[in-house]
Order: sequence, then structure tokens, then C-alpha cells
Amino acid sequence: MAAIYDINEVRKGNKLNIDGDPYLVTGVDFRKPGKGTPSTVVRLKHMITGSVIERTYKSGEKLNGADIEEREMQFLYPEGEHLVFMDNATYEQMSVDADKVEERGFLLDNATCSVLLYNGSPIGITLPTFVEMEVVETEPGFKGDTANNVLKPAKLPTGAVVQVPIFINQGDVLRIDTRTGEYVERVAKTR
Amino acid sequence: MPVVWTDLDGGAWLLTGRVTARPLPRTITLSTGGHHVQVTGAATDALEPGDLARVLADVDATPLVVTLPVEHAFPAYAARSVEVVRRPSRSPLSRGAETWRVEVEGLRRRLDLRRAVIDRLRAWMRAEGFAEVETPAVARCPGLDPHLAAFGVHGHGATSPSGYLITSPELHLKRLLVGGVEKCFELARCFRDGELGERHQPEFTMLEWYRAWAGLDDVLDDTEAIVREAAEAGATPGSLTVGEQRVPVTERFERVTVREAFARHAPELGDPVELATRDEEAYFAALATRVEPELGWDRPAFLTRFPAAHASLSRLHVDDPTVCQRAELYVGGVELCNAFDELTDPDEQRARWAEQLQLRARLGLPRYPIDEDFLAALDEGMPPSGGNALGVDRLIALVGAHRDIASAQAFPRRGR
Repeated sequence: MAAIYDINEVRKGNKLNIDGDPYLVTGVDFRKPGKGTPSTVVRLKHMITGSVIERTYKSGEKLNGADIEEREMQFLYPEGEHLVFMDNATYEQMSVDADKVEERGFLLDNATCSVLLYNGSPIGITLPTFVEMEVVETEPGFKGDTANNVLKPAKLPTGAVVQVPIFINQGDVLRIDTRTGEYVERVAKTR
Repeated sequence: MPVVWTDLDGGAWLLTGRVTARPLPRTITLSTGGHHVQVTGAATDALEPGDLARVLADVDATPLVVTLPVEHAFPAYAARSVEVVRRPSRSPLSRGAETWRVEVEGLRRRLDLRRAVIDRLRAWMRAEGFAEVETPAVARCPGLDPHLAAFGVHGHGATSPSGYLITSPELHLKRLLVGGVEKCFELARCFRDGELGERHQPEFTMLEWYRAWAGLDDVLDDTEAIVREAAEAGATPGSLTVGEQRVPVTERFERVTVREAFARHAPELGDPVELATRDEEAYFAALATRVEPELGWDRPAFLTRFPAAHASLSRLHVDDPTVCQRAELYVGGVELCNAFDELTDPDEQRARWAEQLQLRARLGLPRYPIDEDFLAALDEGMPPSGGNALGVDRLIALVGAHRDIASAQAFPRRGR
């Protein structure tokens, strides 16, 4: 059962149910005209669509918390337009729309992801922040060239392409930041 | 060399401060008051980043600057001896030395600005012939405004409050007007329970001043001069800053009535004065979220002629008794002050308080006593006066381009 908040208790970071949709509180501002009654302006971001709204509440109003749950799940396999995950705690399996995972190209088999559930249905998947993946295809690197500011594309086993420094070779293992899709460092080198 | 460090006889320096880094073995960075030095030598091995320390040292002729990263290339000293004044159990550097330095610098800068603004306000008031006074912080009778909550002060072992922290120094200052102190001001610490937001702190500083034998227009002129004076203390003299936006303060401030402002920004609500009597909540909601945010962007704007229902302690207008002689100043949507042509009639004052007490009872709010001393003073005769109460923390925030008034205070309340 989701919490009920008095408007006085609402804080940045709370998750609220507004007209049946899950919203993240991104800002709370107390406004009070001189000699007048206060109102609280709450800035909200829709947790699925990302759209931003502002709502004004009078003191004493009550708001419903959104029934949001975050669970650790392991990625098992793709199945058509879906991805199948398994709850690490209950071993229960769950099928998620593939387009809910923006960074699909960095999702490795057996990766443990954080799955956000709203009323029991998945609304967002957060990948591990860093993944290690092998380069399957790239222009050969130049020996001794360790300049960092020149980049070239490198293809990963999932088909994703990242920009890498030119000293990277096919077969190198890279660490990639899944939030930005950027190359971080080389963790293993081909001979 | 900064004055914070002492040049001892015999060429040695006594350096004091926080050890903020150890960039190399046998090398530390010592920081104080925005200054940093690099100290080398075996003695520094006894120090750890985070320590508060005293170091006796000589100027180092052969500094290690070349081998140090640039951020540690400070004037160099060779340690003779060191003393750990305090090794904290939780290092203040836990979030990084650079973060610590930036925060310390930021706090110093913000407090310097606060002092500079307050110095200017005080100097202006004194030059104008206002007497600076101090009135009680604890009052037996707080104001009866139903929208203000006073903190109760409990005597030793008492179960009910014997007094209240003031929500403003208004009633005491007006008694001084009656007593013959006809131009006075106070930089008063005020307390309002439950008010916390970007523009509210439960504890804040108010500049409140009164001019006897004067009216609303006179104190609005004072206000213009004071705001201009304060703006001189900032990085952009001649303007205040709200968010990213500069608001020039050099031109004469705009005057706009409540009716004009609603006609511009919430026209479909009709006459706001009528709305305030019919549906007060709708009036306040529109004022706070639609009208106020639009005011005072090209230049500061005084909002005038508030509905008579919200006259508080101001006189009604002679030519239109549906509105009162009350004004608030807005700069980029931020309300800075509340000025009155002061109500001096004891009978009308008693009647308004009786109404407010009834409203308080209806809203289930604590019943505060009526200030009979104040009514007796009005009966004795308060000269016609103009008065204004200006939020000093808000003004400082606008001078310093702070994002909230918490940044204008050394110890703001952060969470409720």
C-alpha cells in the first residue's frame, strides 16, 4: 500500500500518484503572499514519459504516494519484442517491452539490472552503470599511438557502436558507461 | 603573506589551518581563510589530511612546485615542527579537499556580502536620522494575523506558553512612536513557525522602520533608496539578480494596484477586491501563483491598494474604502517588503483584532491575548505614520544572486 503524504511532508525525490500516473517530485516551493494563506508548488516529472508538470496545493491537502518498487533482476534472454528478466529474490520471471530499455546495446546476458515497477508492472530498467564488452570490429590501431583526443567507431557483440581512442584494437575489452554510452577505459588488451 | 599567519622572531612562521591535502610524501597543503601553503619536511608525516594544525616553518627557497600538480603549487615552507590541534573523527574533507575549499570560500563570501548589505542599510538609516532601537524578541501578545504562527516560549516547568517569539517588531516599534521616538528602525530577528521554502526561513531578519508625520509614499521613497543602496554591495551595482535575470533598480520603481495587476495577469477572475471577500482562497492562490511571479522584472514594482479585507494594520483609502493603504515591493516576482500607512485609531484596531480572533477560533488556531498595552498607546495618540518591514535575507539573496534565502544565512533550516 502506497504512503499518503500531507503537502507539508512532500519532498524532492518522493514518488507520487497524480491522477493515476506515477510522478517523481523534482522540486517543492513554499509560497505565501503577505498576510495570506500559503500554497505549495510541486514540480513533477512523469516517471514513464518524462513530461514535466507543476501543481499547486493548499496547506492541509493530502497526496497519494505512487506504488513504486525497485527490484534487482537478471536479464535472461530476448523473446521477440520482449526481454525476459528474473527476479533475483523470488526467481519469478517477467517479460518487459524491449523499447523500455534505451541502452539495449549494452545489455549483457545475465546482467543484474534494477527494474522499476509501478503497480506491479515494469516502467523502467536501469542497467549496471559500467559494463565490460569486447570489440568485435574496428579499424586497426596504430602501434604506439596513445593520443586520446582522436576517436574512431568500434563495434560491440550486441551490434552497438561506441567511439573509442584510435589505439584500441579488435579483441580489446572495454569498460563502457551505460548512462552515456561512452568509452571509459581499456580493461584488457589483445596480444 | 596573509595576515592570518604570524611572522615570528628569528625568521620562522607560525602557520595555522586545516591540512587539506598530501600531494607528495613529506608534503602537505595547509589552508586557512582562503589561503593555501605547501609545507614540506619529515615533520609533516605526523599530519593527516583533515587535521587542524599549527606548523612552525621557514620559507622554503627550493619549492617543489615543478613536481606538484598545479592545484598544490602554493607558496612553500619547510616545517621545523608541527602540532595536531585536532584530528576530527569524521574528516571534513570526506567529500574531497577541493569541495571543502570551495564550500569554505562560498560561506565566507556569502557572509561578507551579508555584512556589507547590512552595513549599508544601517548607514543609510542613520544618515537619514532614524534612531536604531532594540525591542523585545519575546512578546506576551504576538500579532493576531491568522496566517502567521508564532513559536511559544515556555517558562521553566510551564505547560502553556508564557510568551511568544515575535513574528515582527511592529507593535513595540509603534509604541516608541507614541513615546516620542518618531523616526526609528530595528534590524529585528523574527520567527514564524512552519514557513520554509526558497524564500522562507522560520527565523529571519527584518528591517522595520517608521516615520511619524509621514505617509505611505514617503516610506516607499525610503524603500527605493534602501534597495538601491543595498544593490551597491553586489557584484553588479545598479541591479538585483533573480535566477539568471538582472533587474535594474536605478529607475523609479513601478506602482501598480492589485486591481491593475489582476487585470493584466488573471483577467478572467474579475475584480480581485470582490474575489477576496467572496473566495479568499482563490484570491490568494491566484495572487501567489499567477500575479506575484509576473511582477517587477523590468524594474521593481510596488503592488498597492490591497483589498480592505487584508488591510492588517493599515488605514483604508479615503477615496476608496474597499482598498487599503498598503504596498508590497516585488523584484522579479520576489516579495521584499510590506508597507503601511499605519492605522492609528484604537477603536478600529480593537474591532479588527476582534474579527481576527473570531477567524482564528473558526480555523482552530491558538487564541493569543489582545495587546492592551498597544491599544492604550494608540489611545494616547500615535502620530500619523508610514512604516515598512523589509525582509533582509531576501534582499541579500537578490544582491548576491543566491538561489534561495538559505544562502544568505549562516545556519539556515534545511529540512522541516
